[in-house]
Parts: sequence; structure tokens; C-alpha cells
Amino acid sequence: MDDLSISSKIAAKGMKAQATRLRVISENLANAESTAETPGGQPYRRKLVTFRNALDRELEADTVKVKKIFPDMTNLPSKYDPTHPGANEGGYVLTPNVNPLIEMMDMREAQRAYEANMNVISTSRQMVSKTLELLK
Amino acid sequence: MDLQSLRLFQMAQTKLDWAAQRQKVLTQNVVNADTPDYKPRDLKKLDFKHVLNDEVAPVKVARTNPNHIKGTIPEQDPYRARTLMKSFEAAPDGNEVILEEQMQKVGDTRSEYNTAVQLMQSNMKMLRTALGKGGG
Repeated sequence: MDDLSISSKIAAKGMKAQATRLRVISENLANAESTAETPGGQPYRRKLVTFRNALDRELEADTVKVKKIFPDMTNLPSKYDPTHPGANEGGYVLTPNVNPLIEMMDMREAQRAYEANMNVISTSRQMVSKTLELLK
Repeated sequence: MDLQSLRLFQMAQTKLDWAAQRQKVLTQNVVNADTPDYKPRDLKKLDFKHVLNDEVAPVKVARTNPNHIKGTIPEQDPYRARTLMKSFEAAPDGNEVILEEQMQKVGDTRSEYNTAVQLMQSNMKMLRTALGKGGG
């Protein structure tokens, strides 16, 4: 395989990884208000994604893979709402540790990386089509 | 006649190969823009003084008998991708890829590639003119 089509394939893998990240971010945002239904229950915990560098033996290149998706173990904030079904004896409900601002920022970052990969693909394709013009 | 026996074509071809490999290396950097501890890599600038002295090509085993098998498989990394030692910014996770810088390099590589293609095209035109088929 030639280097240019390998480039496109590597970039596609990058887009896939970033898309997974976006999926997790949307899960977090969707569950920003998911509290427990019974007293003592746990609310939704924010999930995190990490990437790792992976050597693709077929392409003989460093690609990227999602290493793992794991819960963010930071403290869960609580709010006072005695009428809530998940409230404890004191009237407090544990709420998810999702901060929409952080999620939005993460989303922008994922989008930027995704666009960069897309740019690489279109550049590689342009280079290939330029080469094909030699036939004219 | 083999086009490769013309120096100009050979040089343009070397440039194309170099640009294609650089594109592949840069793609790996872009794809790993969020991988912890990843260090970006790049190729050395193509120096035609060395190309003309055939220093890019690795030393090959001489074939003194027609029964000898053709040397080794083509080298994967003929222009030597190197990890960049000097970086002026590292993210807290140890990643040193700067997307803007990489995108600029991708654009650069594309225009260098296009230049080489253009060169080949005009060389071909010259050949056609010499053949008397109205190369313009």
C-alpha cells in the first residue's frame, strides 16, 4: 500500500477514537441530571476516556486506540431536596459529578481533533488525485 | 526508454516519495494528538545534494551472478522518521503534539508534493514536444 492511502487509513482510525470520545461526552451530558431513585442509591457518575498509542502491524504505523472508559471517582455533589425520592434522612440528594462546562470544553477539543484528522484525509486525497492528473 | 533514467524524473520521484512518507508520519502525529506521552515525529528535509549522490538509498548487496536473488525487501522508512527532541510545549499528560503546527506541516507537504507532480508534468510535456506530438 502506498503512504498516502495509509495516511487516510490512520486518520480514519483517529476519527473513530475521537467519535468514541464524543459518544462518552454525550452520555455524560445526557445524564447530567440522573440522580438515584431510592434513598442511599448512587447517581450517574461521569465517564472518562483515555487514548493509547497502538502500532498497526498491517499499516506499520502508530495509530490510536481508546485505552479504556472508566468512571470519574471525584466527589458527588449533593443538594438539599427533601421531597426527592432519592433523598436521605437529612433531605440531601447526591447529584451526578457532571459539569456541563467541562463537557462542552471536552467536546470542542474532540471536535477539533476530529476536524484535523478529516483535513489530513482530504489533503491526502488531493495529493492522490494530483498524481492521477499525470495521466492526462 | 525508462523514464527513471532521466535525472529530472528521478529527482521528482524522490520528492514525491519523500512527501508521501512525510504525510504518513504527520498523520500519525495528528492521530495521536490526544495520546498521553506521545512525542511528534518528522522527516529530515530532503537534501538534493545527498539524493544526487545516491546517499538516500541504503547499501545493497551486489548481484554478480544472474542467479542471485534480488537483495532485501524495500525499506519501510527510507527517509528516516525521527522523534523531535525540541518541543516548545507539552500538555500535562506529556503529549507534545501541537495540532496547528502539524496542520501547517501537512499543508506544506501537500504543496511540495504538488510542485513535484507539476515538475513531472512539464517534463513530460517537453518529451512530447520532442516527439513532435504538439506538446504546446
